[in-house]
Amino acid sequence: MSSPSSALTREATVAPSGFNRWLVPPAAIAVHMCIGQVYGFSVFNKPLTLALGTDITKVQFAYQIALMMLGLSAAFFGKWVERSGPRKTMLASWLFFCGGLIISSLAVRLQSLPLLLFGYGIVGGIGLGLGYISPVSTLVKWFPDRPGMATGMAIMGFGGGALIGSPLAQELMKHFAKEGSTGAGESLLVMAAVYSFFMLFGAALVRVPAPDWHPEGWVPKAATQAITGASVAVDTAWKTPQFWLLWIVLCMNVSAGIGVLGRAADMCQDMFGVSAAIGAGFTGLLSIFNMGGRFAWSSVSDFTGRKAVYSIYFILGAALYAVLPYAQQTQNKTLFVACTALIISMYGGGFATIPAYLRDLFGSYQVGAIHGRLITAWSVAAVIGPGLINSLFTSRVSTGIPKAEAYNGTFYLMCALLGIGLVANLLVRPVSERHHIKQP
Amino acid sequence: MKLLLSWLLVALPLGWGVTQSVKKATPLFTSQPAQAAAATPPPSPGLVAPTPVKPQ
Repeated sequence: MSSPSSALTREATVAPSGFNRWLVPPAAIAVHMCIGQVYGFSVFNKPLTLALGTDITKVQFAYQIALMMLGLSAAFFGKWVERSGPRKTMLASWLFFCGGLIISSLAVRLQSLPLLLFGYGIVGGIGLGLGYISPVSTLVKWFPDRPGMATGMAIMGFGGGALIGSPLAQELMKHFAKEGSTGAGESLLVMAAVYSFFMLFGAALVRVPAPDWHPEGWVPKAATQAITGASVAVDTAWKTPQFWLLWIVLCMNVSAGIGVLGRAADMCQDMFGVSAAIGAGFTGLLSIFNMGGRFAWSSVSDFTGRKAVYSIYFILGAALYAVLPYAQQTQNKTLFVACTALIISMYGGGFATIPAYLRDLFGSYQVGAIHGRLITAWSVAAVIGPGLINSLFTSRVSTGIPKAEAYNGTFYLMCALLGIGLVANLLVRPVSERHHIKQP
Repeated sequence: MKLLLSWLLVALPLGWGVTQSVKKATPLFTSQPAQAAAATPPPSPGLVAPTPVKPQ
């Protein structure tokens, strides 16, 4: 009889003959839609500030640490994830992520900010990184014919996590709130239980294909200029110019998207004089496009090729950003909403298409680990994107430019960032054969 | 059956999340601007329409 730990090994998760590969995407989505809760952390800002008797910036620090740890853990544990397989990684992700929620709940009970930063930020953040990269290489191997669509489905789940996490937390806090309590502690505990169910479901369902498996009737295409048939190890990959060009591509795409997403509600109110409720509605709408774009654009990339689809993100994105000042000047709300929704769909698409781009260049051998290292671009973008935008906006307002018009400068800055991304994308060439490994 | 249940298990929460967001976004298309929110000096050249003025 096999021990419980042996059931977690990569070998134990090899799918039996006849296994339906369409069972793997729901496993991946289940994990991603849980860890995507991090995007909805802001609903806890006020309740945690009250519960811990601190100020909001210190509470928000937990979110920032979590995102930083996401990038770091994905980068550091990438090779372990490839070695261990998706089931063990998903279980580790569950332990850290849900453990982080439980520690955060304890932090509320003990009124300890350091415990919250440790629990949600560090412990939970490690769970985010492990969970984010856990299904990537498995999906790429199951869907060699449609890698963009496959990874897009999982990463769409991450975008959807915010849509679930925010209202779920609000409903729970409404239920648990009582005299002298915001209900945040109890809500975090219940969320840990709910997310445990879905993450364990994902871990139980996931399988890796047998080494010689391929989809029925599918014949591997000969390697082309754009898609390699060879493999590159992670330790070699990150020393190639292609890795760093893609790093810039992702960083610029994310920085530009955060330009709208980070200030969406304020922007809508300042530029069009709408109420706070409508501003919040605008943010909700963008979240839907963020989620949908992940699946739609990455699926499109299977037909157009990765380089072409990123060129669309950058050229169309810059053109749409350039239209936004006109929408403000003419007070055309519909045009503004349509442009920003499309921009955000491409922001999501950029996240979802990158694993397939990596697979095209470096092969599927250690694509999860390579993806893990590339995610550091996201962490950097999460800092520089809002930093650039906020400082430019503030400086323009301080020179007397009305708020409604002050955003226009930031839109042109976004165009410039997208221009840098476009140049990096156009410079991407196939990886030199000297980096290929002989027998993965 | 296993395939259907697996997809339902992830589709239901995602669908709920999308529904909640759509509900939240509805006022964007149904409400009129509540109040002017942007402070604007006299329109600068090139402005097609002046931006609303926010009380200071």
